[in-house]
Amino acid sequence: MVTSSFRRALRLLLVTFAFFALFSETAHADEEILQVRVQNTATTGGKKEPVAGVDIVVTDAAGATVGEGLTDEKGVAKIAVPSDGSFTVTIDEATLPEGLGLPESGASRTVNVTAGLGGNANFNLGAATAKADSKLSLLPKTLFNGLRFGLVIAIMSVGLSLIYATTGLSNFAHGETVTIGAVMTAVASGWFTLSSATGGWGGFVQLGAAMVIGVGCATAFSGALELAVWRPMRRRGIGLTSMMIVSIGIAMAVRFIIQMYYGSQPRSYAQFSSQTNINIGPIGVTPRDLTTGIVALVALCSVGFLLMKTRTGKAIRAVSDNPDLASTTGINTERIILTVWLLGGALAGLGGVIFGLDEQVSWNMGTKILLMMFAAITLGGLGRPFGALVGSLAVGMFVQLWAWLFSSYADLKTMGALLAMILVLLFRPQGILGKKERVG
Amino acid sequence: MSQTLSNGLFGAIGITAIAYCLAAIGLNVHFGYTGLLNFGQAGFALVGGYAVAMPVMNWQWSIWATIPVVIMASSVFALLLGIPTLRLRSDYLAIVTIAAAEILRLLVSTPKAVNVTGATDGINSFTNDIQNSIPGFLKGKTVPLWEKNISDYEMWVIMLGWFLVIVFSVAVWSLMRSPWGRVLRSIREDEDAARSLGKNVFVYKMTSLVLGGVIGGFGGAILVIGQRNASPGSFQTQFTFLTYAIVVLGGVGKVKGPIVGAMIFWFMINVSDSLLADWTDGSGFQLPTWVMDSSNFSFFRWILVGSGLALLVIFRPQGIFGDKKEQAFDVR
Repeated sequence: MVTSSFRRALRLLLVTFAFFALFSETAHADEEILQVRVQNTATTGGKKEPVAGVDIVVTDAAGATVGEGLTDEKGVAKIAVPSDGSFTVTIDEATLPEGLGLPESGASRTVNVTAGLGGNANFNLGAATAKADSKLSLLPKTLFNGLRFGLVIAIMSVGLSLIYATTGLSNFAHGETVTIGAVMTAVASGWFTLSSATGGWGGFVQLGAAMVIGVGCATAFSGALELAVWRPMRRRGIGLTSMMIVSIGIAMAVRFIIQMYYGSQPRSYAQFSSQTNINIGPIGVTPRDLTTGIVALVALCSVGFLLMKTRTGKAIRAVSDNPDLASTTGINTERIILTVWLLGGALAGLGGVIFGLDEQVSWNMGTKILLMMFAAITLGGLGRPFGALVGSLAVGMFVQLWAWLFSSYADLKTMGALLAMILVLLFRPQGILGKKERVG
Repeated sequence: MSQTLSNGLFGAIGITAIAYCLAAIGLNVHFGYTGLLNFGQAGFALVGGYAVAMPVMNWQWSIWATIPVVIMASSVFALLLGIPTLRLRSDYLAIVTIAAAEILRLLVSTPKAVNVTGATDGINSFTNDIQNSIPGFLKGKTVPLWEKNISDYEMWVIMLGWFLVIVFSVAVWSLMRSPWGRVLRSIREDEDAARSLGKNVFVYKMTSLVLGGVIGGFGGAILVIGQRNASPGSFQTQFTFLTYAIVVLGGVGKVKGPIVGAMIFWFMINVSDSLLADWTDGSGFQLPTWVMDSSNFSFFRWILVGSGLALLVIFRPQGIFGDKKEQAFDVR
């Protein structure tokens, strides 16, 4: 038993390894890195202060968008461009913090990217000119963004919550399932562009196909972990704390396998292009954001339908209430748990694909969002699937509202969500939807 | 080969090993003896590290005067964490501690605080007092360790660090043999039983959280002094997970566990790094480039650590020297 599960674990590790090694060739194409630095010199008295969270768009000579990125806490955005040559870098004025405006030289500049060396662009921001948009007029858009972000966290964390409910495990490897979904989609999206043009409906179909591959990989990863690791561990009676630490180990190993073969540079999907806003009432939204929002909503509604109306869903709820009682009534608990892992993996992968459209696809995107997911399911009430939905929407709204209210402290917006979670635990430890007797 | 081994030896006794060892001693008090699932040891280390660097940099304190600040700051952090969570189920403590550690890291990283914390670049040049206190027999000399040379400053920090490790290990050893330590272990084994004997479980857990947190704070202090830089990058969530790996490796709930664990852990990390660098540098024996090359071999150590941690917990949860009967976690 011991040796066979050891071999299985080893085999799984090797297969994952080989799997990523296989794609390492496609990953290291002849891309160049364009480094954009945004600094504030206007309101700091001559000191250079990095400005985080500024949206940067890179377009090529023909005007087509080749990359997009957000500046990090060092004020730097590294954007991969497909080749060397001349590119136009534009900063999005709407994403600048309050009190700051575009540099005197304007929002865009042309940068030459040299093969092997990449390129650089520095923006020194000026003081804000009278802003066209008042703060209040940005509120509807903020609420919409919060809703969307909440939905994205919700599809990822419903799986995490279902896994917790049925097995009791806080699965730290869930973030890597998210990453695998996005990374495999990004890798697969590169295959399709080899044969035909991107953009338009063709690009849409190509990205859809890549997404199927990415979500498939995430599902397979999640299911394989259940079969190779969690099920044998449960059979040997290993406790939940041990399993939690094992999930941390697996998360770490997989995360760095991805970094090793996917690379440290964040990338966009090959079909990615910048889109113009369409106006729905007071909210300007790109067709892409609208589509992914609808996809997320449909996915969540189907999960809700599955849980409430189907036999499998009833069985899942029974197992999460009381596994022993469920198995005495003839429910195949192990099969239900496997179903939950597969479902959770697929949803996490889908969430990863959408999240990769909002930001770029990077090796540690899942790890970054994992704490938000935990915050969401803790807020909603640990182990309650609909609690995950409520908690996620609360977290999403909170993050966006924080950025809206304290726009000069927007880099601390995730901190706000974590703080809110701790405060809720102080006063209502069972979470928003939790049952009181489950705690303590 | 001797180069590789001396790298490994340096890793085993070096500053990083000491810092992680102290953090692991603290975590062992939480996790090994009391059964508290603290996932925020990085936060305690951050508090300790910045408690040393900030007063020196901002208010020109002597670095020795920051020792009580380290103790007080880590205790306050422990109280803040403990009050909302210690009455709840153990996984709540895990989530809250990991979140609190991240909150602290985000707070010191924010560009707005650049004048106080140095933002992402952190604080440098706060170690002059340590430099000036190097005793005469070390001053200006380098200490050879096989093929590796250790500077006088490094050697002095290493000596101070191991002194702290010994002090805290002896303290933990004697505390755990005292009636107080026995109550902690009874809480770990069965919280309700301890409560029914009239013990105030909450207070015992809280003192354990404070004690382990303070030791972890000193780990962070040694780390920033050794690196001569206090920056948020040293205190990511990964810090906590490596500390767990060290505690499990050495044996959970053993006094020597963190010491043995930290030494073996950093020996293996340095040896594997050194070997892989040698195998990807373009001369002599080479690994195939599709496996790894000189640009990405350095990630392999974390793959090793992650899979090692998972395999260890599955197949040898008592660690290298532990006793399966005493294996502490998962009793509740």
